[in-house]
Amino acid sequence: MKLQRTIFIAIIIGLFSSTLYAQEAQSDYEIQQTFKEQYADYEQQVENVSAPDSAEKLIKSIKQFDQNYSEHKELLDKALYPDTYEEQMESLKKSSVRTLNKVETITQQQKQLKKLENQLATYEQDLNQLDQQTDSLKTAIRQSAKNEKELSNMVREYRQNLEKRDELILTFIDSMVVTYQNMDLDALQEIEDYDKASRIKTNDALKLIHDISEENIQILKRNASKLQVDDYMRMAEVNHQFQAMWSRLGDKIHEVYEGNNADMLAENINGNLTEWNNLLQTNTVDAMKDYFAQQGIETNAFESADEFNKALHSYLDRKIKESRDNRSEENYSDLQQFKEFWNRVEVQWTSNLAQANVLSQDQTSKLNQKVDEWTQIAQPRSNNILVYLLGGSVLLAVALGVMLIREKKTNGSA
Amino acid sequence: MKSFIQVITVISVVAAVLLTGCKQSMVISKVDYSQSIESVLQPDDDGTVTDPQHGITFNIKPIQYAETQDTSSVTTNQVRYIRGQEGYYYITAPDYKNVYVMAPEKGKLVLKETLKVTDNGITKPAFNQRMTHIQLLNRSTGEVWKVTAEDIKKKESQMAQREVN
Repeated sequence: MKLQRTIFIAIIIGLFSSTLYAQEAQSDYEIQQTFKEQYADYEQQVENVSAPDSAEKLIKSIKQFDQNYSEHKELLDKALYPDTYEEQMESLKKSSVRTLNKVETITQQQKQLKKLENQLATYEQDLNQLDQQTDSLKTAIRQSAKNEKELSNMVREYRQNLEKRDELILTFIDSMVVTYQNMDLDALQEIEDYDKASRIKTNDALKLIHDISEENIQILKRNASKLQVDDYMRMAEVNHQFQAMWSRLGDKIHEVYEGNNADMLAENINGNLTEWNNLLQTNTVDAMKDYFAQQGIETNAFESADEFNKALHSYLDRKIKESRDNRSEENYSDLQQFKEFWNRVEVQWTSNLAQANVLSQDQTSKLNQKVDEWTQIAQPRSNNILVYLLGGSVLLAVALGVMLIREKKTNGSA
Repeated sequence: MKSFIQVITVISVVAAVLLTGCKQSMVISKVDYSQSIESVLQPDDDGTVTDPQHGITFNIKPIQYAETQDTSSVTTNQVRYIRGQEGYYYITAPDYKNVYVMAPEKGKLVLKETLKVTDNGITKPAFNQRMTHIQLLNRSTGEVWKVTAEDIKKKESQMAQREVN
């Protein structure tokens, strides 16, 4: 009985082994065919993989594939001639690692975009809030019948609101730059082509950029009389950063955020930026007029940036000539007044004036030469005469003293 | 004068012998014709198979006739062949009972040997190139034969398994 059982088990094992053996029987032709098919399949998978996890699994699977076929290396070298097995496996492994890196980058980019979306929502909310406050203040200022002090406080608060708004825009620009500057648009496009669901279906960034540019134009249009040179210089900086962001990243922002009106928004932004520049230039020149009037700097009238530059040259030429012809206290006082303005230009506003297209850095530099020239010759003559008189008096006193001592000595000896 | 003619004759004979020696064709020995992996080809309606990789085209019908005594139509959809070290072609097809060893000659393949495999034929045959011989494999059963230009021998199962692997 026991013997029968042993024979029965042996037969079963034998049958099982032969079946297994038969399944494993593979010709060289089949080995190379299967290898080629699997290789092509892996190439396809490498092409299509869209998530880092899948890419990592694929890399492991390729390693296993290599282990499975490395024993047939010699055969496959012949089958793959002029390529070799090693070359093909190396190429597959490299492209799988490249894909993993690419997919990781894309995932990172998508995370950044998601994060930006949340940030944008906050920015939008804050900006709206600030705009509402600013509008309310503006209305209050317009309708106010309060005394001058209260009105002045409201205007100050209004200007502070605009300053906060500009800070918020700069933060928004930073967020946009951080998210978009290293974005690999081609890789993003590639993955989107494969997996349409991964595309971010929102227009928030483009819309927000559009709205900011639109609102800034409105602010510049509405507030020409309430703002000062300082405000416009800050706005020039914001405008410059905003334009730099748009010219560097506009295409990517446009590309990444799809929507029916994306093209229209992008076109409007370009138009708005031109208008924003023009208004900024005009308002800055107007604010300069007010500033000069307040400071008592009497230049020729100017209505444009070009006329402003000419007026400054003409003013400086006139003052330099005055100094040469007749150095006076009045001229010197004008210089001090002008230098107060010019120091702010040199220290704070040079780049802002250039950004606002009011004075280029070259123009500022040429004006600066004239300011230096005026400074050198504007010292009032009266001051010098006093010094000379004082010096002469001292010399005379010394000479008289010496003569007196000599005379005393002569009389004594006589 | 006679001796002069004799000298001329001797010189002519020697020159002729030397020139004949120079005309001998060049021989390259130890040529290995072996094809590393068998070719699996599909015959067209006329029975012609073409292997662009190895640059050969031939018609399967004479072999089919030898196998089935029928050439009215092409009865197989697959022809498998491999070339051995000496240059012979080993040809068979699914369900064929024989392996046909063909010698290449100018514009033709000449039957050198018909090697009987089984009475019932092999359903899934395959050739493998091995160091000293060609291996015939029955992929359905794992059976293995050692094939040379003159002979075919079935391998014992353990040896066969080692050889296949």
